[in-house]
Amino acid sequence: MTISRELANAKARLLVDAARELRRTALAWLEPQPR
Amino acid sequence: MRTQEQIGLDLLTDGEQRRTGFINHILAAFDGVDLTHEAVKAIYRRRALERSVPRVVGKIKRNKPAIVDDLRFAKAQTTKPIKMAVPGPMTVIDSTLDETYNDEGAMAMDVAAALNEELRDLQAAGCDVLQIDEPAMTRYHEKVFEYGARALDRCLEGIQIPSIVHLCYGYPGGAGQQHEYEYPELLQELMKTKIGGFGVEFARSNYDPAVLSICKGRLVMFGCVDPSDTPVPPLASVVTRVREALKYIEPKISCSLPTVA
Repeated sequence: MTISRELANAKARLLVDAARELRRTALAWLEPQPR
Repeated sequence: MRTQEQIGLDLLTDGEQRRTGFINHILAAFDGVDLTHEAVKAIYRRRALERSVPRVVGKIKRNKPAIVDDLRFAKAQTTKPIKMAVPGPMTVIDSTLDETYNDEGAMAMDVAAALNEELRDLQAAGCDVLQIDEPAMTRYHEKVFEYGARALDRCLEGIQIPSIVHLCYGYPGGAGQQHEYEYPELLQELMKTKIGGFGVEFARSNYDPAVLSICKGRLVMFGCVDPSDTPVPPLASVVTRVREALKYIEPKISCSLPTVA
């Protein structure tokens, strides 16, 4: 199947936004905290 | 490719605009395949669909590079890493009508040898990530055990760069899900191979990502957005889905597109 360029680009941007948010929050949460 | 860069993806594809189908652009470089006089195949990835597919009319052997020039073109357009994709042996078998071998295992090993030549050339030409598309593996686990895993290993002989086997369930618009089989036994079997990692589908399937805990030491391309014509989901739902998976896989995040054509 094909989807529109606009929808494909919007979903690709969503991936980038999600990665940015995860780098900002989840990774800090997962990294070992200093004792 | 410029759009992928502007959006901010980490790992690019060449856009795959030259692909005439899911497998034909690769089969065009193989002896033993008739792409002109196709035949109808009624069973296609266990969907009740009639498809016009290439015929296998002789021994399969690569006679020229298939997508190596596409890689060179892509590398000339960007400094970002490039991923190139080929269909895997099981998917080639599923998407063709065999009139020669009458032995899927034997045909799989010839397809794997031909694909191995292509993957070695892509590696030599500077490809960063190799993807082997095997949606047929998600539909036919019994064939993975019988010959699919062995053929995948044959594809990877001499490959040192990162490799991924893409294990989607398809995403036809509005069609029912195709999840007669689930990931656990498939991933366990493929963990015995040399494959560098797995491209897996978790948005549309909504599977529990705990299954990924067995993929230690391998890359995981975690499918977190349904690539079909469904609406764009909220950012928070995607972040939550990935965050849940990060409990079970190594937390190193980059983003790329799945197979697109």
